[in-house]
Amino acid sequence: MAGSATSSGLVVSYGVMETDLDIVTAVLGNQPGAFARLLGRHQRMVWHIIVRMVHQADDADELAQETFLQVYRNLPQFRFESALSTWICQVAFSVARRFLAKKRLPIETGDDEGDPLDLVPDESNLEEGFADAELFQHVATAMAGLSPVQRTILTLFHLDELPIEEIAQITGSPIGTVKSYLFRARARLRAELHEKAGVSA
Amino acid sequence: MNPNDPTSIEQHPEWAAQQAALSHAGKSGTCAERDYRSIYAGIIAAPLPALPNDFAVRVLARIENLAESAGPERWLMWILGLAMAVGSVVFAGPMLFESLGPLAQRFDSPWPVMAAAVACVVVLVDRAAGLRWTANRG
Repeated sequence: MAGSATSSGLVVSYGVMETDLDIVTAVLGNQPGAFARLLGRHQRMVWHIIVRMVHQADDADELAQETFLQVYRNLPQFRFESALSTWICQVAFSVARRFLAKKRLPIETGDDEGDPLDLVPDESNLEEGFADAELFQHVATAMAGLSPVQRTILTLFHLDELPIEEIAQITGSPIGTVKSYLFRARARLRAELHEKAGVSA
Repeated sequence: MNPNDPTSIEQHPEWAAQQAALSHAGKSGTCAERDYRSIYAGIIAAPLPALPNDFAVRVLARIENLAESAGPERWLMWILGLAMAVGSVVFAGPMLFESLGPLAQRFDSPWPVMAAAVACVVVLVDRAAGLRWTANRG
């Protein structure tokens, strides 16, 4: 990858600051290497979304490729109403969502085992119950039990450090719904880890 | 609690613990806060399948193929679009010109109205056929 993204939406490429407008203009003008730069800049985030949504590396590979093909085809319609990264993430999210819908897999629901708020303990200390590596392994396992949307939102918020407003734009959900997903997903993780700590104690 | 109501969520003590864990580092705070701090670290450390090394190469190859296969298709669309434009100008043009007649009288020459009619037809054909002659694409 020739550049690194900054939080302001700029990319430092060979010492030159490249804005969304610069890169879109370069791709639409068929400048050599322009789409490769766009790809290098956004592939990590697209991968995170797809892989968290579909959970299978083979499917994720195909869907991430499909995302960038759609980005290439639809870039002339990009109107700069959001950051380019947000728009690309929206495409990735909708590609993954359509894939899950086509396979009739659940997208949003994951609370089959009741309200996680009924299960969270009043007092617990996970640090005492587990060693770090063990705790992280249990978090990863518990995350697999969340719904695709909850997993994706948790990853975008905690790993990619996106603000809730941007996650709402990407997922096409109201801000309150994103907050609710975050809230319930974290509470479910805590309840499940507490349960595991109780079993292993 | 209404799950879609942010104010309702924000009043929940569990939400307060989640937020406190985001803003305070270290081992201080309530049990819930410490639990959430561990959980956040776990989410960040959770293994993700790695992006394949040749991912970018494969995407760029598919895009090159797409651009190549789109060439003849684009030519065909151009020819069809041109035929539609000529047809529209030949058949619809006189009608359009007639209906715009009163406007033409405001000018010394009929050419501005005729040029505007042709431009309108071209834009309409462009939009209808998705040719993007009028879009900013090289």
